[in-house]
Amino acid sequence: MILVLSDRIGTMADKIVTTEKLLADTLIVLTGNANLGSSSSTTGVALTKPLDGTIASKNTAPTIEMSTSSTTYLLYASTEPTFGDTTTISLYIESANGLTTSWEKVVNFTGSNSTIYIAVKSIDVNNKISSLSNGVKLTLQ
Amino acid sequence: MIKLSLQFFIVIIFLLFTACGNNSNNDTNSTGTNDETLTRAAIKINDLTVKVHDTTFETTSGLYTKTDQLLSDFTRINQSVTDRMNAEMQLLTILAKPFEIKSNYTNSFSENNNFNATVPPFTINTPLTNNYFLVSSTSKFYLQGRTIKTFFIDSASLTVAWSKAIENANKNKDLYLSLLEIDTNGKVTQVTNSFLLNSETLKTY
Repeated sequence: MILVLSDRIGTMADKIVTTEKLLADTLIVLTGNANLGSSSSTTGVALTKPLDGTIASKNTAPTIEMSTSSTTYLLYASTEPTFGDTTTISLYIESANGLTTSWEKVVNFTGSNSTIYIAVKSIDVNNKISSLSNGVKLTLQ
Repeated sequence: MIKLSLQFFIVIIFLLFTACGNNSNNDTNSTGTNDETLTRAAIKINDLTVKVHDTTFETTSGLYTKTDQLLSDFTRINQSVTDRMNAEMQLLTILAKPFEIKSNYTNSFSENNNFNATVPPFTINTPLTNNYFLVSSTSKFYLQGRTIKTFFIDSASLTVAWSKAIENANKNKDLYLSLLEIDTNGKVTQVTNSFLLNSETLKTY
């Protein structure tokens, strides 16, 4: 009887520990959110060009300039300024040529919308990815 | 274990009775037969004693192992609950802070109580040397998907960022605002705690 009880408490303990760890991990993620400015481990990046509200060509990719010198980055394109999961695509860009190749995908993703929001996550030499930059609104022509 | 002890006791009583019975019935027989009976009984008692000892040892060891495991389980639970509570407290501490401009930035920024749809609640006092974001969100946690970050480097771009935040805000919900600094190394620093713009005010914009 005691042995069965012990086994059941052990199983229960496993479940409690798993749940508590999940909760703690979630809280740590929330606390460390770069947008709260409380994280020391996440780097940030500012997308300085194109400027907010720029008119961009559907045929030619805009020039991307960031606050870091990294030429490798993830380009996020979204139909919403909040970059929600369901309205956003991300593309891995290694160079200006890479952006030219990928720009068509961005334009196709936009569909009939003429407004699109872009943001970046820079990737440094150690493959560390920054938090999401500011969003920039573009009007496509 | 209790059942086993009872069986052991009954067997001993049975053997003693048997031994005594044999003894009384065979008073006239040779003493050799009595010795053999007693020897067999003694051997059986001995075997049984060893068996009981072994069983007791196994049971005790098993109980000890399980008790040890139980203590370990409770320690694990205690540790994980403590870790979670610490994480919770850290988050609550951040969220519970009233609005203020961090001491390192009080020369660069100040709060403007006369804000409106076109005038932001923050004023830039000196030329800025780093990059800054105006962060606005319907989420206290500034979760991606519910947060807008707009870049600014001076008063004019801050005003544009403010207009963008207002324009894209959900007027039926409170709006949380904050300023972040991104230095040349990419280090993110919070310039202010959350500034709350309630939905009632937001609806008038």
